[in-house]
Amino acid sequence: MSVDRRGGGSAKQDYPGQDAWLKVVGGAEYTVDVRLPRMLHGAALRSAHPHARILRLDASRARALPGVRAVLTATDLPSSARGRRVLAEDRVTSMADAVALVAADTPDLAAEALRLIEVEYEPLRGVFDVLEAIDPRSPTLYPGRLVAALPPEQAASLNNVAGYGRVQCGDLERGFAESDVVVEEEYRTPMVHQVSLEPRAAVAMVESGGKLVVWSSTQVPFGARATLANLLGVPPARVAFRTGLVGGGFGGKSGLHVEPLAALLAMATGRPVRFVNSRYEELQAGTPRPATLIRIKTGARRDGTLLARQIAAFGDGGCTGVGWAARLAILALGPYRIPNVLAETYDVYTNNVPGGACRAPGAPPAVFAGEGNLDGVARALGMDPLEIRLKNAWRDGDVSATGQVIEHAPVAEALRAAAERVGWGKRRESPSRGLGIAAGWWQSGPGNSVVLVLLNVDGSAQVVTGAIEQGPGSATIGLPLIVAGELGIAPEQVEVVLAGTDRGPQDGGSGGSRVTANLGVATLRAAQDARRQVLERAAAELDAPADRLRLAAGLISDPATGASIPLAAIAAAAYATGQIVGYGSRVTQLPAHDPARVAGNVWPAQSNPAYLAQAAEVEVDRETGEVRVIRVATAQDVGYALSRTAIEGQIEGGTLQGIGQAIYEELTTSEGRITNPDLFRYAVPTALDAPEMPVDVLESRKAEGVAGVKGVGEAPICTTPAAIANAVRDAVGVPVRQLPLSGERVLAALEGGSLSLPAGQRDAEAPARPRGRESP
Amino acid sequence: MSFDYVEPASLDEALAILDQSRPEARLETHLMAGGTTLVRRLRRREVRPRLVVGIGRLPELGGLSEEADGTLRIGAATTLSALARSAAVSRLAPLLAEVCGRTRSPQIRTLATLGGALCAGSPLAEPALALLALDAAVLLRSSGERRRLPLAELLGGPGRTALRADEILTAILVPGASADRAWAYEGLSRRHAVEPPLVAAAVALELDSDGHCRTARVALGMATPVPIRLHSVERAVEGGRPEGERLRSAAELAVGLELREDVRASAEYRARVIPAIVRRALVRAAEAGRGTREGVAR
Amino acid sequence: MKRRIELEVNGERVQLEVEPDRTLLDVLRSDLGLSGAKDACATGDCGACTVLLDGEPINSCLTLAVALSGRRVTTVEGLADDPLGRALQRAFVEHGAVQCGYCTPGLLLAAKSLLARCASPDEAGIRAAISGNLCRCTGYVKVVAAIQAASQAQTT
Repeated sequence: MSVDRRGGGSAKQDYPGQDAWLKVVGGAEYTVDVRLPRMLHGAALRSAHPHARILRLDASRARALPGVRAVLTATDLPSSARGRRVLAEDRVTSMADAVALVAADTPDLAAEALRLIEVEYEPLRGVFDVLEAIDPRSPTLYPGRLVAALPPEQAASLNNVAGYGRVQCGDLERGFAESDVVVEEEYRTPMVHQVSLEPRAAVAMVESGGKLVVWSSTQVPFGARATLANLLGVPPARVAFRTGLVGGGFGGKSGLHVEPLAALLAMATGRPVRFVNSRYEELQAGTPRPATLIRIKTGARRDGTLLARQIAAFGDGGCTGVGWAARLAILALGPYRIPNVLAETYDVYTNNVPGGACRAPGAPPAVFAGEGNLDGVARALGMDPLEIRLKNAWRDGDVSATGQVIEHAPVAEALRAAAERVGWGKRRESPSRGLGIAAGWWQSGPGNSVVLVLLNVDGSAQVVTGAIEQGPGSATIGLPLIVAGELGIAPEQVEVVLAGTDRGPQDGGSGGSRVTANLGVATLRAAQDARRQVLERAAAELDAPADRLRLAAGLISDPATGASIPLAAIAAAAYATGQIVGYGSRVTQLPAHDPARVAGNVWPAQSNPAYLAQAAEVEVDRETGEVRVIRVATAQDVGYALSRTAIEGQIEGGTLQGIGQAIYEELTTSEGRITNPDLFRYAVPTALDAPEMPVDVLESRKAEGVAGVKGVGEAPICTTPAAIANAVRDAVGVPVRQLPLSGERVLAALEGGSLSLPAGQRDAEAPARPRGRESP
Repeated sequence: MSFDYVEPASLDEALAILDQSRPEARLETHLMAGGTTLVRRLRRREVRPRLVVGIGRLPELGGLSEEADGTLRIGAATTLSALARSAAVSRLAPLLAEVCGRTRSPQIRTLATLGGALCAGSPLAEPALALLALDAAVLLRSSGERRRLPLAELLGGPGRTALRADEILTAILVPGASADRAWAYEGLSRRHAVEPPLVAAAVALELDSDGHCRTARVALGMATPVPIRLHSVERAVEGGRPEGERLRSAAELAVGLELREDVRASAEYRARVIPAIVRRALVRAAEAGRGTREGVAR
Repeated sequence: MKRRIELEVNGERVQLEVEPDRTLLDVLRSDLGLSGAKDACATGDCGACTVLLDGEPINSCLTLAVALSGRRVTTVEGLADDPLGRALQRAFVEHGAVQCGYCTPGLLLAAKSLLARCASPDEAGIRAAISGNLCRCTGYVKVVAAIQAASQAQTT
């Protein structure tokens, strides 16, 4: 394979990754495939109530069942793991809480043992909705827990707040006062699930020396190891995570899930224990994208200039209060110039299942609200939705609400490209067709990465990393391309070693779209280090200055003399006395921002952000409310495109997840219990449900090669529900401010009534309140 | 979930196992043809059989034949994918072929049998709609008795059928049409595979040579506790030309039904959309009748 | 009580003693070491456990092994035994149809069954044939393209 070497690790080509072949022959090993001698099967008894006191817990019958090797309850745990939500103590706070653990010879026996555990509960009143939860008259789930950042005047009137954040700039009141229109709305989104096809899984074993080895599907091995070691009260070096191929994560495998359960059972039994969630458990006791409620109010001048935006956003963090609300602020503000801003965000405790990370945490709900509200402003002004966006879109040099200077931001280009793909402004094919557009931005997440590149005796290479590969190819496609580009070899000659935590250097994990933009840079530096060593040796051999030499197609050559030497010869010579090993690291800091504009735990700035726009065309069945998505076009800035196929695959896959979350994905609940915990009722789009998804890859090229790369994986889903919702509004003339846009909900909106929207949301249009001056 | 498994060599042998006069027959015994319903229930531990009797390969439950009077006889263990691909079914009962070729997923259709789909008593058995619209009957056998029931009488309620513990459903009979038969199947879906529609209607119209509707069969399902016939709609269509206002007003009679409520859709929503879905099915069947005299489906 | 069954798995005759309650998926993974098929939903709704039974796709998680005596089973591990299977594997790799890979074995087998029956399916036919295989990563675009490419490779 020829290598298009463009410097800076910029090999532009399609390379499928060494794991692709393993995956098509059935040879790829995931955590669920790990089998060890004498391995036991673990299972957890989950709470039968969303909120209850445990009055009595009797596991004696389960312990007596032949083939059951351990039954653990909270009192059996090491003190370091007590009170840490591993096992419920005297109270359960969600249906996801584990009450007891079992290890048995077979999965069936483990399930049987769970049924023999007797638990007597005293049900307590629960809270299941953020508005109910913040009401001071509701039960306080964790009395005495205070949120330091919460302003005192709010603390008195708000209950169950787990986190507070604020973004503030300009003069909000003046901004609204100077506005010709102000549109105020309320948006709601439900819990949605990551539904990686591989369930969360772990196999734990205590080695003879006492070291705990955990095979795990986690996206973040080093973070998971640190947390697990802390839970178990042992030094991190006594815990080893063996990680590699992950069957999809989408944020659902961030951090620890079943790993502590497998570990505790392995430590109790002295035997390897496998713990794999059933799909029921994945859905019933998962960590989904939190439900949100977003109040948003935007003011603009008659010419469409945005003047002010106020946001109050609530994230239902369930029993752990992880509502990802802080992200809602800057994402709902969007990639627009808005001089006067106040955005307050609240993570809220409820008795729902714990919230978690799901592909672009916070973004789809925030952008749904922000871009829906912007369409409301455009309509109130009689302005085209594309035009109002182009008018206010960031240009390089603008400053975000948190004081981040905007650079390399092709927002307008993305808007125009996506609009063109759906024929923006064309005549409608039918009155029930509609077009919608939305723009957004997403970080290339920060974090540390360290990489080693080893040059083998034959001139091939290994990249050793603690990262995992969850599917996009960030590790198994991206890293070989980078190393191959730098060393002048083919990517097939670069083996990626996914080393886990104790067989390679540290890595910040796979999440936040950070891998290529961070691990990739570390890899580039390691490859450059190796390259430098190669050229130094070659310079001596060829009697030429190193900076004159070229390295391509496995050959180091001196253009001045025409002399050359194979890379393999250099590698072999080095191998005789050692080995060429390149070291590279990358530490990414948050970009500069203005601390005075940010309070609480808001991520104050987006690291190396990618910008995108999506445009959707839909057809709405006015008799049934059914939304048919005809196409969703994406124009996304990737900075620098390393592998076009892999990028398209991320955008297409992210868009289809977004389509699912726009029109039918929803974890439905009743009093804290998930009522659709299977893939029959929880609707993941099939091949027959995927529309046309054209992709424009934009390259803002802040630098050539890897240094110019921006994260790709999460951005696409940020804008999809918003674009579709705006298209639905265009088709039917009324907004639907609650996801998903089910036929039921759209029909209710069409009929002006409401099957499910809360009272006060029934008007066809939000009250657009022209203020102050009359028309000139 | 330990149980024993037997696979009898003949129908009589299978019926003997079910003979209720034998004490062991009273132990929890389950019949299994394709297994898609039973195995799902086993894995959820909803049932704990002592004995599973495999009847999927009984020769008496196989076969597809056209009888002398034009009736299509379908062995109960015929799989949905075999029905979808059968030339005889496509010729004699294209509505059934269409529905069997699109319900659920290719994997389920390979395994699931037509008899099994009916005996599960599921509200979500799409083939039952087609069969109701085609006036199908079922043959039941026990050691001592043979019964023939109209399909509607077999379908008792969610999870219930008229099948007795000692009986096996052996065949489904689809009568031949007495005139040109136009048909259509219309569903309102979230996803277009894996899960069945939220509401579905199957329509079969027998049309005289002058284009009048001699008989109308309208079956509604997915929204009701069991698939049902909409007799009032049928009567309103019959006798005249199946056109415009007649069909629209007939479809408006699809009201006052007992409807299912589930996490996918409320009963209220289903009630609202049923007349539209029924009307579309009627209109498309009528269009098909006016056109090529061949059904269409969506 | 265990029952003796005989299957043809990937062209080889296999005799097994199985408890009647065991699914084909479990037997393939645990007894035969064929771990390509995955248990991802347990209800027949995702297709990750897809194998071919006498050439047709089934959910091996919904099938009792004891009822399959005498039948022919093809898993992803047996795909490379024929040119069509190899063409599909190559096309999936070359077209970026593989991401996390968890659904890939099932998709390949569903596609193989389709192309064995119909050499040149249209896009709608391809989508219908893989509609029982959920893929959460790809959006199906490149999967469909790969199947089209394999179809063309076979017919030219």
